Amino acid sequence: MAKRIVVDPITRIEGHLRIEADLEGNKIQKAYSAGTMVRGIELILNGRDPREAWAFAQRICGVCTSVHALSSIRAIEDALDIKVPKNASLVRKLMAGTVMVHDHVVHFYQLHLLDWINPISALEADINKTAKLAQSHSKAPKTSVEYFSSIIEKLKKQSNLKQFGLFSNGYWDHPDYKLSPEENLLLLSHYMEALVWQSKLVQIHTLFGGKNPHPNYLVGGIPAPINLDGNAPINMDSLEKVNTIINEAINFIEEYYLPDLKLIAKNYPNWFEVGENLGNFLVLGEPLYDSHKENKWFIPPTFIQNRDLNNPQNIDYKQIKEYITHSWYDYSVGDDKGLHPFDGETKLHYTGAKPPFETLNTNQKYSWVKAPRYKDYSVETGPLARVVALYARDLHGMKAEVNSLFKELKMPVRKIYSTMGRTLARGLDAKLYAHSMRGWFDELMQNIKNGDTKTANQEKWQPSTWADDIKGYGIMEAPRGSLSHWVHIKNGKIENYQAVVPTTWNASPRDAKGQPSAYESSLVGHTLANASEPLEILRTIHSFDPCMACAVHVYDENGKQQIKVKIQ
Amino acid sequence: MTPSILVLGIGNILMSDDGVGVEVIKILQKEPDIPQNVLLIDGGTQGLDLMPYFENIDKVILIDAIVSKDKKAGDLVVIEHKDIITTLGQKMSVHEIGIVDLLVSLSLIDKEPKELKLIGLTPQSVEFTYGLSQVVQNNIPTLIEAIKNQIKSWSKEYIC
Repeated sequence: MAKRIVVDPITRIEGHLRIEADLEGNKIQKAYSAGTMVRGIELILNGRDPREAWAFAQRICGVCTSVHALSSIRAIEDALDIKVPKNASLVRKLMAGTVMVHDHVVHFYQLHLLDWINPISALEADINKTAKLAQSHSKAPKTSVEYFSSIIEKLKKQSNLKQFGLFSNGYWDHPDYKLSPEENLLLLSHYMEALVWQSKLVQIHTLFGGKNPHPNYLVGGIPAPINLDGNAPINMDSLEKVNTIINEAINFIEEYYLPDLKLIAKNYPNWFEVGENLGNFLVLGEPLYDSHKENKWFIPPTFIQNRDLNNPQNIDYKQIKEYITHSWYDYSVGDDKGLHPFDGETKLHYTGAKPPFETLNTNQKYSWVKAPRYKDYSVETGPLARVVALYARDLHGMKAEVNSLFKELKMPVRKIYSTMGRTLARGLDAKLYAHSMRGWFDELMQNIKNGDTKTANQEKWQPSTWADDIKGYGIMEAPRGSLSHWVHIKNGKIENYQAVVPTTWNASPRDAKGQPSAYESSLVGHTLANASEPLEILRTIHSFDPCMACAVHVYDENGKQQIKVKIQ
Repeated sequence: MTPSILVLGIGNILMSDDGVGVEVIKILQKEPDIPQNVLLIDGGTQGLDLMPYFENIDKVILIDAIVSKDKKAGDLVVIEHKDIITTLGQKMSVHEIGIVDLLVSLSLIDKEPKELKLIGLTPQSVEFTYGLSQVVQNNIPTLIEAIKNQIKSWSKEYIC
């Protein structure tokens, strides 16, 4: 008889995720992923002016404001058939690239690293040894004894803040923390360096978007004019600042992120053995500029089936369907049918047990997350999907990059299908985007120097220029994977809107055929050292960088929001 | 003049009164009598992305919807510095976790503000709709007055 364990909520993620796993002995046989909050953005957008959709869309997530705004803008521009000026596309690319690099670095250091390093052990580190280790570890500049003793002081201060400090919610006695005290201290110092650095990086959004964390967007272009010599928002001064920040981003990834990833990978070889069981990877694609219609790609739409890297398949967007067989919604066509996002329906219907309950009834509906499928296959999206797609298509030097990294780690490349492989892929993804930002920046400068300062195309701004009944979709590669927004515009107003977000693909419940999602299948085969401290589950689930905040929102069983707050 | 007071509105405008902090920032941005050393930021539901705004800041007012069992919808709630992380950390919602992470992270890199105050209104509704409830809307002037008074009292310290 299998024993079921429940991890709810999964900590150090955005939003609420519950994982239930059936164990035989200490080994996971089956796992279930449940979003315990519902998302209702679609309901709020219906009937609104499509030109304003982005401003609502960017509020659906606590973290990824910018990507939802961009995907929404692209969907509207697709419906209205607007050609976006090159400058605007490049500025948008730089903003999206910033989000990508920022998200990956913050995820690794602030959300995932504590699954691999132990801050309690770091307090015991020999500072002289740590300084020596730092000097051989990478080119990162801070390697002095004084520096590491200041880090120790900060850690001691944190260890007094048990409830909400850095050390809260950890399984610090778990036997699978493998790093030496010095390695733990070194990586914790980089945790802090990442905090300082990320604060600089996001300023690109303020420089281009006028403000952060909610940059301004505009259907047809960008709202900021360009004038190199004048006081326009985009001028020589702001561009020079962006240039510096891009250089710092490249340096941070080369000097901190990649060497730190390798240190983790070398110390945790077992984590190349588990964590990926689907074998199907989906990349909906990142257009070269903004429009998918041009069929020119920065990252081409790719479906990798059964880990077959010799046959990267092109994408047919008609083959995307969302199922609700195990999700708390009703479809007019019945629970066992999938709906394409253009025909998507959002009718909430909670049928689960009344909380509090011990376990979910996973034979029935058990999540607020819908189940998107491609060609009826369950797929994984995100950094690992992008990396294997680029590997299979031999683009952006990714094949050589992966081969060389795995050679250095003395691992065969097929071990990329794992928790550690996914974690490494995120680093390679960040490197690709940081270097691409350099390319986009240079292209932007060249275009402006050639005399093109156009930033917006307003030909289709007036609804009187629109057809009565139009549809469009905006796709992009967001940090956690492929993001698509789908809009139907009727008589100038939004008739239907659906967002299919990366975490919905990865964290979905089972579908009509009972196929598990990427999260659910990834956990099968994990052996837990101690079922009451499921560090192993956290490592693999965190490797996907869950962002339930945009997959779902906080609601209780009646579709009402649930908050439990006490004021002392 | 370098801003030294940050007024940060947090919350989700798609969840009715949860967005009160953000709506108040929009109003304050149009008020003529906000001193120049005050930085007004719509923080939405963000966390670490807000860190740049804490540069050169030593006093912070957070504005949010705050649930309290002793208060009724629309009531003003003021939480003092020492209780803020506990209060926000207990709230089962998305954005406050981000803010808690932000405050903890600021302390890690020695950039935490010297003074911090959480001021807000008790929400009537946090359902998934756009727009504030009537009772919260009606009490916005009270909230704005409380924020302005706090700014005034801190500004006096600067003059002394």
